[in-house]
Amino acid sequence: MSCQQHQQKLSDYIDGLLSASEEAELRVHLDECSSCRVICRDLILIREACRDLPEYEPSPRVWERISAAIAAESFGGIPSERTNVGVRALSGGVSYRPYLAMAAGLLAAVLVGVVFFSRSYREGASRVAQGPIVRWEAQQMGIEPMGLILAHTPTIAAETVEQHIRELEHEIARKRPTWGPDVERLFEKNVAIIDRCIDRCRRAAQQNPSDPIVRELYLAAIQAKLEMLKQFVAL
Amino acid sequence: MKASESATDLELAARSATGDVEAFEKLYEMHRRRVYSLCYRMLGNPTDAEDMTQEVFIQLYRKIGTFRGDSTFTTWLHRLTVNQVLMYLRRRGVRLEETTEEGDMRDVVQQGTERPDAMPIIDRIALDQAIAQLPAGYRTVVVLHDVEGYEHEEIAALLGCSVGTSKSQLHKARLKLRSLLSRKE
Repeated sequence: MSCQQHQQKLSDYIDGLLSASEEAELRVHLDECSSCRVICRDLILIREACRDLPEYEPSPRVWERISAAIAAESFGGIPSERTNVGVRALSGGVSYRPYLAMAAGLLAAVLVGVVFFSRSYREGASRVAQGPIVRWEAQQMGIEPMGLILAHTPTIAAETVEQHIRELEHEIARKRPTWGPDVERLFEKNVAIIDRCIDRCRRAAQQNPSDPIVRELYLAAIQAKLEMLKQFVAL
Repeated sequence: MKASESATDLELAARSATGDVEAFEKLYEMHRRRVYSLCYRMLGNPTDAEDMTQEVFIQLYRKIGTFRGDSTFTTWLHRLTVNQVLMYLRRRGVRLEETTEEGDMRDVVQQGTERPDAMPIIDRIALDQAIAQLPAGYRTVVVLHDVEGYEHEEIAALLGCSVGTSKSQLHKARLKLRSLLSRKE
């Protein structure tokens, strides 16, 4: 048998997959052929090294995007085109299972609105009115919105989302004693999810102030909370 | 895996299935490196690996309620990851059951060397880089078999090929790795 034929059996040999007779025959050849013996030793080294390869760390933005996507799913919505770009590219579309029916569709509508709005204000400050969300974000987070010139100090007071949220929370506190336990549980669960999402997005935005995806996620999250609170107030 | 880690996985999986995002985040913290590293090695580049890691954990969140603890959580997640990567590669038209862009590698006699120190220690980083350079078909088999410890029967079932093809691919992949690593020296 030639070296070529023996070499074809080397991987099975080092993996212990040869029959006893084949193994014995190959051993004899390896004893005699230094060239095949060296190759055999190298393949063993490669196999052993493969079992001891290091693990790598994904970047923090992976979790930010996962958490945003599952928050969006939890609200029955569709993740933003941009935040879900990797998922879409890989899967060619994603199916969703809303399990919080009461809040279904909220975040989807908000995300569409946010993406549309962000496109608009990038087109030029002179043609775009400043919305309360953008003004609020610029003041609270110290971020200069892209393409937007803050020509004057915005009057945020009653117009800010934060204030809207506070007002709605006050209203909810008033109505809450009338809620049944199911509504109470649903509210607690929704608030917990969206607040975690807001918190993560806020931290991510602080760490990556120039990342437009993170900014959109943050905007979507606070608007989602606003819309959710409106729904509960309307109960 | 230690029993305590399994118990933690099981508990966190059960909590995640009820929509507990904090529990799911802990699962992510515990398993992200392993999933990302597997994706990185099977796909060969960090950008695709991050996208795939994202996809795997979103799928995990959707499916976590179906985890019954019949296998360890790590094994279950590992299989989910491998399936996601293979689906992705197939969608891209990669033919995993055959040798890819380099065509079928000719069976030539490999030259050994008399030098006993020719490849005494393999640099792990260089090995990872060499794995990334393999054609997708070779890379998949060598990662599943040599890195992840799958048997040829399992690989054949996953790839839809024969056990013989899996063995042949593995052998050619190892020879190719040897060639790539030798060139670095």
